[in-house]
Amino acid sequence: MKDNKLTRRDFLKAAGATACGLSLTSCGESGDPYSIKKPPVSGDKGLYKGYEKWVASSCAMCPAGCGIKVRTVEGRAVKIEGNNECSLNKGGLGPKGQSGLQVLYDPDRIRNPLKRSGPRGSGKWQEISWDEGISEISKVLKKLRDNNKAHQLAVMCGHSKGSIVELWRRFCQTFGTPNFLDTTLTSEGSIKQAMFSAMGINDLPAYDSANASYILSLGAGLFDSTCHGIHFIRTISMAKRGQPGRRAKIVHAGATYSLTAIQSDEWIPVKPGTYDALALGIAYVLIKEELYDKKFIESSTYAFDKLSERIKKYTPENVEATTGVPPKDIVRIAHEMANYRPAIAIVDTNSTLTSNGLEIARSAIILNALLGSIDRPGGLLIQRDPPLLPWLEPALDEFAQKTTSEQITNNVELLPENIIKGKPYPLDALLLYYSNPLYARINPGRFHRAFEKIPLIVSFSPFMDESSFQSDIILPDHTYLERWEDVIPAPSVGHPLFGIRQPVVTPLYNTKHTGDVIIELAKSLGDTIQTAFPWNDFKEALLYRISGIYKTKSGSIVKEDEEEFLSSLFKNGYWESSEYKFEQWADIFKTSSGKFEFYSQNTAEQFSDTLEPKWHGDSSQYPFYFLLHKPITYAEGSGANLPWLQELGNVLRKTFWDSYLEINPETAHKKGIHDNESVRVESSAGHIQVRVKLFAGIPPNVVLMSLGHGHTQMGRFAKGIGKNPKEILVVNTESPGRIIPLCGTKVRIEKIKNGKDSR
Amino acid sequence: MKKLLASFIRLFEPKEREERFQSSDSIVTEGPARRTILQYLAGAMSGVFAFLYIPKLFVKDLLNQHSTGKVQLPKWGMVIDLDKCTTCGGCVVSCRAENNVPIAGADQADKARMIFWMDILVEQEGEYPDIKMRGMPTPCNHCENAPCVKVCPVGATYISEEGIVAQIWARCIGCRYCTTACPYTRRYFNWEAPQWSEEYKNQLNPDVATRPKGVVEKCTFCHHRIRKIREQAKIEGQALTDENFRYLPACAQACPAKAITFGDLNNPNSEVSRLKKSPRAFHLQEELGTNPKVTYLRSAKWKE
Repeated sequence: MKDNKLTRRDFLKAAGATACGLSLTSCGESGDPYSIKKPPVSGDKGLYKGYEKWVASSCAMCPAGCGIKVRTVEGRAVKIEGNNECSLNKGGLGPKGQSGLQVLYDPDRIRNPLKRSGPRGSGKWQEISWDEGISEISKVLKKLRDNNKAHQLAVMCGHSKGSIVELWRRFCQTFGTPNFLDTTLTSEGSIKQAMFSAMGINDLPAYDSANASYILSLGAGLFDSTCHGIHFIRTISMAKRGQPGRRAKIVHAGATYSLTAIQSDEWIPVKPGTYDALALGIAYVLIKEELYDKKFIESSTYAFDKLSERIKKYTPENVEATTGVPPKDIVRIAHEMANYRPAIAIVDTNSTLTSNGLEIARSAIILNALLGSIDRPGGLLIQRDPPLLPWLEPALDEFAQKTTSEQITNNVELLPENIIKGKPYPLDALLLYYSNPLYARINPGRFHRAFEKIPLIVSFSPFMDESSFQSDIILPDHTYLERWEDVIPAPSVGHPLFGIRQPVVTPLYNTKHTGDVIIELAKSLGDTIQTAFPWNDFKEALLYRISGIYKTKSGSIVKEDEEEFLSSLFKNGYWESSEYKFEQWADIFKTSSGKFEFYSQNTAEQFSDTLEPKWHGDSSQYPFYFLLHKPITYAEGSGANLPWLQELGNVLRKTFWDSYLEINPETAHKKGIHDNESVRVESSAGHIQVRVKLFAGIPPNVVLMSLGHGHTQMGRFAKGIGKNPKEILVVNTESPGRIIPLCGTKVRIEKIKNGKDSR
Repeated sequence: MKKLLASFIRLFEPKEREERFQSSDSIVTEGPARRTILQYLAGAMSGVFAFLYIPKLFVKDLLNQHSTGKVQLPKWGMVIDLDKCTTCGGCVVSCRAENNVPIAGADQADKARMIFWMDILVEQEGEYPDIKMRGMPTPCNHCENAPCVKVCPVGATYISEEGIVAQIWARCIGCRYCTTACPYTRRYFNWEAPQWSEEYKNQLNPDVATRPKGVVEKCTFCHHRIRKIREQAKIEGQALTDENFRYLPACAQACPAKAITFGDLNNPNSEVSRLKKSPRAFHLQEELGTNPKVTYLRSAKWKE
């Protein structure tokens, strides 16, 4: 029998080799340097040559959480495709999602728990065991608690949803520290605050863009980069070409000619960051001409009179002075929005980058309310959450109850100053989960100085990013293709959708699920912390939560037996309930009036009258607005270590493996700057040297730079490529609503005299 | 002849492998166990047949397993709707992953030596603020009257019976006449040997051969996927319809906007034939008479 098998393989090999040269595809198993991996030995882990299976899971390359199916051959992941059944992406997958394989197979992944063996930043590491790593941290944490300093532990978490985030919160709560710092709030915070003040909902809005007839993007990056990215691409193409006889109009108001502007029917150039004035200008016309949805305004809103009073000064003429949009365009758009219902005004994290971000988000939501588009088909939806079972409230010991509730900072961007000053208190330990402050925060040099004041820094990153490089202990997490996780996608479809993430391949290296690490850490600390984490591992905790979905016996998977339910869930990769009841205003508005509030009763922050964003830098000295762009490829820097994304680069500008400063050709001409030449970009906070790309879609007084490059670590493909524009941003603390804006810096540019600068 | 072939395949079907497959982890979606082995076999056989110059009719019979009896070969074509496409680049990366397209790296990229079987062409006109811009995903156009095929001195490229402009990598001498002749610049020369780290080699698709230094490579319309789906259909005894092919190539499958449609242009009822009749349809550089099989639908105006 055995001999037979070998003969057959040999025959196939020989036949395959013959075919190589003649057929288009081949099986390539020769010994040359181009050869494909050798097949496993028969019987090894149930694998054999040609063994192929598809595993359903969920993407983690951005918060959208698309359903994916991964093709594995002989135990290796070879292709990621969109899950055709998942209603979020219906088989589609963007460039980042496709590149997930290079996250898994990144040659510079951290393969073992590491402990620093030289001074910080020396790059000297010593491999340690998992037990050593965990007990070392546990020792420090115990000491903190013993010395009544539990609050001096902080956790920086770069995810906003899911069970691991809940575990971290629970850990902080039982340990007795208020310092669970959600770093996603720096970009999503303004929209969440606006949603909270208008509707009492602490989440991003979802948009039913597939069924809208008119879509106004207020500076949103619908097709650039947004946390609902693939959903927008799919639904807006449906709105344009999906239903026979119907075609929506897409209007993009934006400072620069972005991907979204290109694909829109109309681009309205607006002065940087003045979307709130534009939205209120449109609202002015709607109110003045009584084009708003009277029924909704009367029955379900609060303080409309205050709004109509306030809006009086936003006449199209006044708005033109702020935004630069001609009054006739403002009136026309208002008329079009009123006539082609359902119409929506969309804001996302790209809209709210300036100091008036909160006002921008709020004005857009107000505009949606006037159009009667809240919670209606083709309008702004409120994302319904999947019915996950909440864990039991943990019991807190005396210590955790007594601990201070004052956070070390209410905005992560201000953390370094507080740490350096030691006010309100110093920080003794910092845990970094999917957050890389030494790269991703404004003016990251500040964090460098702050890190020196923190005795223990632990990173859970699978990659050697800047912050991990400066940390003391690294406990590398699995990558998303190796771990169990629950996925609650960023608000997009409206109806409850839950994705499961499961190991597609067995973990490649000696890494460990951070969920498991938290549980082990809690166990080692004992007392109430231990009892709050009664599970053996993260998967057990996860299955407990999922049982909530099983118990509802509704949605896409209904099974009598829980085992059967789980196996269907793991096979499909997602669960959803397509049921979405519209117009549930009484239920969804959680404000104190129970209505949509034009003037919030619960939040301290009220309307500010200064709509124009604040810019740091004197116009005579720093004449250019320094705008930042989140490209679809790297968003905020997590994709720079993936060669596929580097080589996709900026799709329309055709720039690869480098970052560029985009500038208007006229401006460049006046300054004697040519395409591809290096310039020095200087703000009051610092300067960088970067190559220039001339692009006619940039206004004359603006320069634009994409985020995502300029890593000093992060592996061989990211290190030293391009520049990080955040290095020269000024920390502007004057804006309302605890927002530290990304776009608020003015710069000047100078041509570098002596020839070409190397990258 | 078909029967003979079927029994030939059955001869090599490993039973114990199937059993092992069925007992494997139950949480996974099961892919066809036999598929890959058959593919090796089919690859081998088509090579052997081509070598022996088997009568054309038989080749047709082999290729045309999905049709309903009539021997009419499909003619593959693609329609790309620019009104839907947002130039996200999903197709570009998907194509790279599927077809083992090598990474050029920063230095080669500076010399414009990157390889894209699928690329986004960009068009721009006007000055701020009256600027117009358009991006178009462009695979090989698989011209019926392909200039690249005509210039190849060694017969390394040819138009297959199903209309695919194919490249025989092993036969290419790297003269780059074809890259010059192609009006769409859809042919790429391997200036360097592809370099994958040991880790990245795990990801390579075993269905597609990697190319050595010094040869020209190009889009194949994911020919290996067409073959695979046919083999699977044959095993399962099911007929293939237009729907099976509609989003078959890696680029079409990945497209979040479903802007790329693929199918048989010889089938008047296929989606591509239907879309090709659209008033918005156009081809790239039509005036050259290359007769491309990739059709574009221009972006429409509102209320058009």
